[in-house]
Amino acid sequence: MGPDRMGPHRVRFSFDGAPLEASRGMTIGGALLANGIVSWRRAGAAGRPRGIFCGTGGCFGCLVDVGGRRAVRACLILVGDGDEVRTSVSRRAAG
Amino acid sequence: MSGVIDVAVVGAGPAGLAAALAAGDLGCEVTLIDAGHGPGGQRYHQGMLFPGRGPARRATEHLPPALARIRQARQVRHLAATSAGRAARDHDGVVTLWVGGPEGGAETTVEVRAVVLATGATELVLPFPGWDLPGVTTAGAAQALLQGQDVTMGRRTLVAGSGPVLLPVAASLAEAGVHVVAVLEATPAPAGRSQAGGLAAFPGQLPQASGYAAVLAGYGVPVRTGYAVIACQGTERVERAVIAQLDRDWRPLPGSRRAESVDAVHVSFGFSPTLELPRALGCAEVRPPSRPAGGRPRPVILYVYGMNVSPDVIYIIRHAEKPLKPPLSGVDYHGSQNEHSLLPRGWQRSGALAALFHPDFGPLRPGLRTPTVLVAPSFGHPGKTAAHRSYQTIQGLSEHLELPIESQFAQGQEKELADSLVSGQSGVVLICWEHKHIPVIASALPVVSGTAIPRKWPGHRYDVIWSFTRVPEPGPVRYAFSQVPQQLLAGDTGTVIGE
Repeated sequence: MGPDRMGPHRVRFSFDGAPLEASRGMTIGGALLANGIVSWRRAGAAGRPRGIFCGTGGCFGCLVDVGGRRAVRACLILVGDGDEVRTSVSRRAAG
Repeated sequence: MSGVIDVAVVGAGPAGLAAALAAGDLGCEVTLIDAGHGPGGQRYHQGMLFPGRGPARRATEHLPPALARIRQARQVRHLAATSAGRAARDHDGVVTLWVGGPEGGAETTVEVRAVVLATGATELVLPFPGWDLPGVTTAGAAQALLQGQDVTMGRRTLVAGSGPVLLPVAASLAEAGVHVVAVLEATPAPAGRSQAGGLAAFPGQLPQASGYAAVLAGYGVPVRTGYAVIACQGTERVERAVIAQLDRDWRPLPGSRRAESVDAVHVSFGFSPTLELPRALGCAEVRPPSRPAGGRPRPVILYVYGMNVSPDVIYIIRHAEKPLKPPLSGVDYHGSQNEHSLLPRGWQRSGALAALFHPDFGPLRPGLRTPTVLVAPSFGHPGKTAAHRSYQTIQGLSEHLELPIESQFAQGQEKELADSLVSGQSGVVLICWEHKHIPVIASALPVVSGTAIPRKWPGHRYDVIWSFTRVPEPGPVRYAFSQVPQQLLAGDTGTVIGE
């Protein structure tokens, strides 16, 4: 529903290999949420799922891997054409 | 980058935009630095607002002209998607800012003679088990996603925490088609107040909050005071929220827990100024409500409020009890007889007012906030001027808070005082004034339309606070009016002033 309201400029990207679309100008976090995806990170020794929390770049909860960049904040970075977005694993070494 | 520029403004919200434009208009070379992709900050969602729905449409209708002007201001160089992470000041007063892209971009420096820090505020959240589950966000994140990107987190949600921001966020979500199960305000309603509408925890905001309450009521969303989300549960995202009723100290009441099926929870407990850069630059930090250890701080006071360029709250009280007829005399601060000074009962009230507003004397009553600005009319000779009573009435509070009493305006300049406060102050203002002129101040404040303010303050009433609380809505500043009985001394009536 979201992307249709955003005008004709569409962006194609992928998340963990699955092709997706969003509107140009969306953040990666917004683009994933618009596609019904709420989690894109595994955090801590238990690998707990994480997604958007503060939405303003302050909490670093929403880290995601994009292309060659690791652990960027999905709430700040705009989604770009051809972006390969992947689940980011920031897991503390066990023991 | 080379060369030292005139002015750098950090933060492109309403305050930063105003500062950048003002400096540019004066012919300064200005660099505006902001992490957002467009100007506007969190307040205007970086200029990306979707006009389709109620709350967002109202916001776009009131976009500040600065948002358009900044794009054309030739004197202002706007560095978008850029963060100022560190700052330092050398002996010549030149400030170096280290700036870079938000994620790993090359860092560069900006050298500048004057820096305006307009870095806004950060939302406060109290943690609870499961706060980190996907679907649990701050209320601000929910609002930014909805109004900035037209995206919602879930279909069945709770909005919980404390403070007036809960209502507009819940109203926005409801208007966007989200099923808001309830708004949970942690602060219980004051004793004796109806729970109807659930807004009683913020009595000063009843009138304007009723606008959001009407929206929420229209969608069948209950607003419950004295309740909180105390845990969230789920595996890959939030699936259930555990709700409990709270006592006055926000402790869950035994036996009150129950689970609610939700796929999103949005929480907020207010905002705190973002202070990393001010601290890095060595700004003294003054927190009016608490006493600093080891003497007085340097008088450098910074108030950085991302959402507010006018006071949040303006309280008006009259001076405390005075001698009624000339033969009767009051006493001055040193105990000497003085016909213009307060009676002993007036000094009692002065002390009690300090206790009423100062957190060191215990938690403030729900709905009351500690003043950050004190105002009394200017007076001539302290022993000869009746206006000195107003000063005396808040003298104790001033000393406890270590806040000076501002006396720029005299009796008769009520309109100027009101205008100056609304356009030049932030925080919580307490005015102590001569009672006959208080209605003049009140009528000069921009209040919600339809507000009825008593035309006269009766001569025998010393025991009431008039409270003006800023309406948290986009558009021109508006205040909601209410009255708070002081109930401090024996004989205080507990009633408000009628028409």
